[in-house]
Amino acid sequence: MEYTENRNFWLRVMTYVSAFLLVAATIMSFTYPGAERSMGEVQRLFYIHLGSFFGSFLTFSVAVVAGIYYLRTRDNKWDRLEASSVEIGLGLSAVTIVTGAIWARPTWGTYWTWDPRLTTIAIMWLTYAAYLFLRSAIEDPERKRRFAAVYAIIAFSSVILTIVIIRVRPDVIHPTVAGPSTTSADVRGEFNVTPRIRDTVFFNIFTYCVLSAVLTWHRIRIENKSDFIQERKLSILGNM
Amino acid sequence: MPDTLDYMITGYALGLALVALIIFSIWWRYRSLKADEAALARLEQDIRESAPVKTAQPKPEPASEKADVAEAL
Repeated sequence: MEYTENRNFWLRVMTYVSAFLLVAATIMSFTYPGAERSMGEVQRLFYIHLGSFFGSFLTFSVAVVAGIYYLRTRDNKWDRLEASSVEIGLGLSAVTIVTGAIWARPTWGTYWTWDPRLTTIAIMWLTYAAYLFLRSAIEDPERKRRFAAVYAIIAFSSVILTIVIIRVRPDVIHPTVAGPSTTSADVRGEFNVTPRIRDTVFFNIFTYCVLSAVLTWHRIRIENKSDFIQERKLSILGNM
Repeated sequence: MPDTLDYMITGYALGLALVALIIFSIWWRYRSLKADEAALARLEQDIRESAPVKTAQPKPEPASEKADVAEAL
């Protein structure tokens, strides 16, 4: 499928908007909220950490919906959306893991610990990395799409587990900023959320959600162009 | 307040570098596909140009006429 001029125009507009939002969110994270009292400047990593997690959560959720629609309709456009969403989600969750590890070093004294939350996010990341590997390993296109759709739906349970684990396990050291938790604040390295911190968090979440949507759109365009070129190659070979 | 500025800078540098890597990967693949598309367009043009030009061929005689000629001979 070739993109129309109108669609290319809107993709370009959204690309500029997301680039502007990313720059604005980064500047806001450095300047708008003050440094946190107990952790110092490193607490600012929380904004990119949470933003990228929500961005990946959005794309993994989209992959589930696309997987369900593919199984219902067998339309390849849903498969392209699903594969693109998973790839972008995997990249953004890598940002979440890396920034979280660096935040943990001065706060917990280690880059990584097998805390239930960290274990579940590692499982989540590996589950979606395996999706891409397994997808590329299956030759038959129809079988590949069907398998990928079922896998994307089942793999989302790892995302739900990652979200829920800090609310149900009492031995978690990961902070729970919003919602109920069974662990005490002094164990978790908790911090008080001031209005400026809250605004910056929400702006970063919004930014990374927009960014994930735009990156997924670009990724879908690659899938579309790749299919289009493949068809043209077959057509040329057929005419030779 | 602890001095954790270095960690913050490292975290943002690595986080944004990963985002840049995603963007670069998408841009690079799209660029490669555009190059493939241009190469295909050139190939299609070459095939069109190198195809033999069809000229008007003499009309073959109908089979019955051929048989008549053979009989006459």
